[in-house]
Amino acid sequence: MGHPDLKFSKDHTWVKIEDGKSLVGITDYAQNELGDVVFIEFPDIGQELSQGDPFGVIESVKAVSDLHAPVGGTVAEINEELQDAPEIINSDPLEKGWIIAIESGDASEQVKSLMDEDDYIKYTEEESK
Amino acid sequence: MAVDEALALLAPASEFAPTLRIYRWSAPAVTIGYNQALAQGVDAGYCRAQGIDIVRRPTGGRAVYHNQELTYSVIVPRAFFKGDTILASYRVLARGFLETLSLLGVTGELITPSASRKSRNRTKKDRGGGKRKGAGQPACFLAPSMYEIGAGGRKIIGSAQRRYRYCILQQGSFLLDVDWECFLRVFTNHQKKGGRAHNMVTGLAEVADRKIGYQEAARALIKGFQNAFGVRFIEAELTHKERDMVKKLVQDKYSSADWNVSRVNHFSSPKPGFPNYDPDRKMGIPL
Repeated sequence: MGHPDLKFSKDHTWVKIEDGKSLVGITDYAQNELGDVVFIEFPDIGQELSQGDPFGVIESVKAVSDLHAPVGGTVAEINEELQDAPEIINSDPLEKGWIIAIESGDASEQVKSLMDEDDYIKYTEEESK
Repeated sequence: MAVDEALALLAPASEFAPTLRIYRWSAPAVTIGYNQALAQGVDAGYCRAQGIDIVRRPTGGRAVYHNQELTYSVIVPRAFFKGDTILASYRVLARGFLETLSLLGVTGELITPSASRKSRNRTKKDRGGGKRKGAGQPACFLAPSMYEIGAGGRKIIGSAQRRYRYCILQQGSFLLDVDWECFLRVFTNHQKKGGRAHNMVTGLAEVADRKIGYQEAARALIKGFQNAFGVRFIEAELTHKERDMVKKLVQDKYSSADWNVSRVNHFSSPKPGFPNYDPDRKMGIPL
């Protein structure tokens, strides 16, 4: 397992939780599926989200797609680098391609519904059948 | 646009019967893609002078001039395409269009995705006509795309998708004929490039070698999808809930210059002064 610090959702987002703050992005499977990302629309800083709420929109050469929060909380930061270089999501979706940071507090209950990397890989293999 | 989005937003999380919506515009109009800068490629001044409305779609892609065409939308559960990729979902739905063309006596073809990679547009933050990095082709029908439908080597149906959590909305335009003078005038850069456009776009009248009206095309589209997917459509009206959602979407979004020009969405993030503003409301509506 290459990313033990990440949890994954069925909506193909990942989350990295540290000290009550959650970094969120889309998975490598998702960016590959989307193709070249050309635009990302962010939520407002301070916006409140529940788990599963739409928090942004991503446009690729293939489609426009809603993004859904793997955990809830308050939007604390957006990755402004992506505004000028959305292609970072394709080249480095799990690190430099993070999209938002959420003040999520104690997300331990919410994390129970997320997957570790191995389970997520199995999930995507099932989806691809 | 509001009707399409309402149908998509109200689609349940569980499986539901897909919807095929067929309509036309009461007057020529232009729709632009979700992220497309209005200032990029569409002659807004000409449109205003001609009374051509411009509205921003919830789906991506480029500008479409809606005139002498049939407009469609399909709202399908994501589970319908379980295991399929985005491109495969376009390809699956394309079966319905190819069958439709066949019923009208036209041999349709899928436009392959290889050419689309060269026409990618990259954008900088784009609100109210911001800079556009690597600006490309503003017009949908003049840009090669993936698994769209051509006839005689030219594009005849253009489509774009929006993927929500539980459903996919695909919107598209099926050209019945092409008013070249207006078509070229609406897109600023094609005032100079009219010749190339003729080689890239066609309408049903040309490939079928006869005039085919909206009603005949609509009937063929319904039958085409029924044949391709082995289904039977039931004609229905919008529900009460759908009509209410449409009203709100029109009010806060699609009739607003903030949305159509700058992609500012007062429906999902209503501000004070807008009818749906509720200071206690938590964001929960898709953008």
